[in-house]
Amino acid sequence: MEEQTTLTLEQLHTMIEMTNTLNMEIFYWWCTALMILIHAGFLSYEIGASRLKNALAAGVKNILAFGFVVPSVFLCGWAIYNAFPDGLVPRMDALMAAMPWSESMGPNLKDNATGIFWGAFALFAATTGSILSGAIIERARMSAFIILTIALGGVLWLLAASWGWHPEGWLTVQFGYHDVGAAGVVHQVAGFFALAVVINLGARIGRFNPDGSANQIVGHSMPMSVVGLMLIIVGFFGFLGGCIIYNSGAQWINIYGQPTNLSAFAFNTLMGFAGGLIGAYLTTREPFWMMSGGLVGIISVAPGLDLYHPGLAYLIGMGVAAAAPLVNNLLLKFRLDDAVGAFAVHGFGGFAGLLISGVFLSGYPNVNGMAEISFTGQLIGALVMGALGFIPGYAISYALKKIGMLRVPAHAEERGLDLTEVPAQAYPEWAAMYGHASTVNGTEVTTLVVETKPA
Amino acid sequence: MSISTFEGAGAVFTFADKPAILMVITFFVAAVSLFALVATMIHEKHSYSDPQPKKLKH
Repeated sequence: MEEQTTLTLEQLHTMIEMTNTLNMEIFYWWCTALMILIHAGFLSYEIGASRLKNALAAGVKNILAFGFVVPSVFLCGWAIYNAFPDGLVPRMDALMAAMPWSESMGPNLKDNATGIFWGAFALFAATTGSILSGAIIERARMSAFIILTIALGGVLWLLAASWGWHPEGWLTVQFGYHDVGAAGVVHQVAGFFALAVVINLGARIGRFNPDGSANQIVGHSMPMSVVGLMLIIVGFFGFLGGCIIYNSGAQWINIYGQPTNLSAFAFNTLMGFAGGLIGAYLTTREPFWMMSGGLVGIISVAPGLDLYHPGLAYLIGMGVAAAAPLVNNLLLKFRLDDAVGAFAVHGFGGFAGLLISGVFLSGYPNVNGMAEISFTGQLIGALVMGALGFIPGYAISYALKKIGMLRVPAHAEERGLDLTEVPAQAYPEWAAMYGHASTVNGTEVTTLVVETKPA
Repeated sequence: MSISTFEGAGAVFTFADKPAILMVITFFVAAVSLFALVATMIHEKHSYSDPQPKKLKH
């Protein structure tokens, strides 16, 4: 007969603590894994939104963003997040503790948190790079995109997070800035950064006529784009899960320390998404903008995911998503060619979401002596996030433009970036299918000569 | 090897007890990233000046 052992209270306590810690790790591990679907989604979405001649180049750009942004967050991004909650003056102890040679920045048996949070932040950074890449497809230089995405994902988003998505961030402490789902710190910053780059980059050849009217440039696979957008939505559940603090053995809290739970996020994420789909459907009737509208819906309710009534989240998502395609049309009036509507979805969606949250969440209390939520605080936060994205985005892209490094040469753009710089072919059978005259009712309707790559 | 036993160990990664080596590794990570960026620029320069389509890689 086996001898039964009785655990002491202390042993039981240690066991419970360890179980809680492991549960926390597992939770963020899967959130991070899901967030990779955001990147997969953007990959599919942008390849589909590119013309056939640029399909692979768009993919390479998106993949490279991941490869550059992750080490950037390791090298300096995580330190920026930890060191700059007071503004532009760093906390040196926090800065040094998060540098790549510190004990917490690697396998550490006494630290179950840093790596898992760093991973989530690195994936948030990759998301900002993906937001930018969509706006500038088909004419931006790969190297320029890499420089811009390192600045955005490796530095700016982490500065934004330090100011407005940190329990001691100055925007939160002084103004009660409330942005639990990162509408401002991720989406708005990236959207405004993308807009600034688009201004300097210029439109794709053929996008606008001399009289200012716009021509449609249609991507080669809308189904691929729509599936990509749906993948982004799946990834958002990891993204938003990563926006909550797993409080072992106690009520979960948001990034600011206010109590919340995943139920709140589930209600409002899904209702915002559904509202966004319908809102964009009402103004466009087409699937690309419907799915983009779903994203807008989630982004627009993201600041108050923990506090909105789901019905209100639905209405907010619907309203902002209905307006987003109109914002994109407004950009076209100014001859701004944001190829996938990144500003309308992320920049405008985040900005509108923050302002609306200021209306409905004004007066909600904060914790630890921080200012309560107010419209003024949300407005200030939205302006700061817009400026933090737009000003550096404009300055860096302007500098790149001046030295001739921002845009591909016209002959490469016209020929297509795949033939020019990618040693692979997206659809090898395509030439065989369409490289000859096709007929309808015996009449030749088109002759499409397709240039192929030498083996 | 930075530890001789797991008993009571914290940071267990390679060179955890040698911050100078970690700084050198960090420097190489940054340098390699920079090299990849420069390699991209060179690839672009050659691609844009080459009238032939890029050859397929097998």
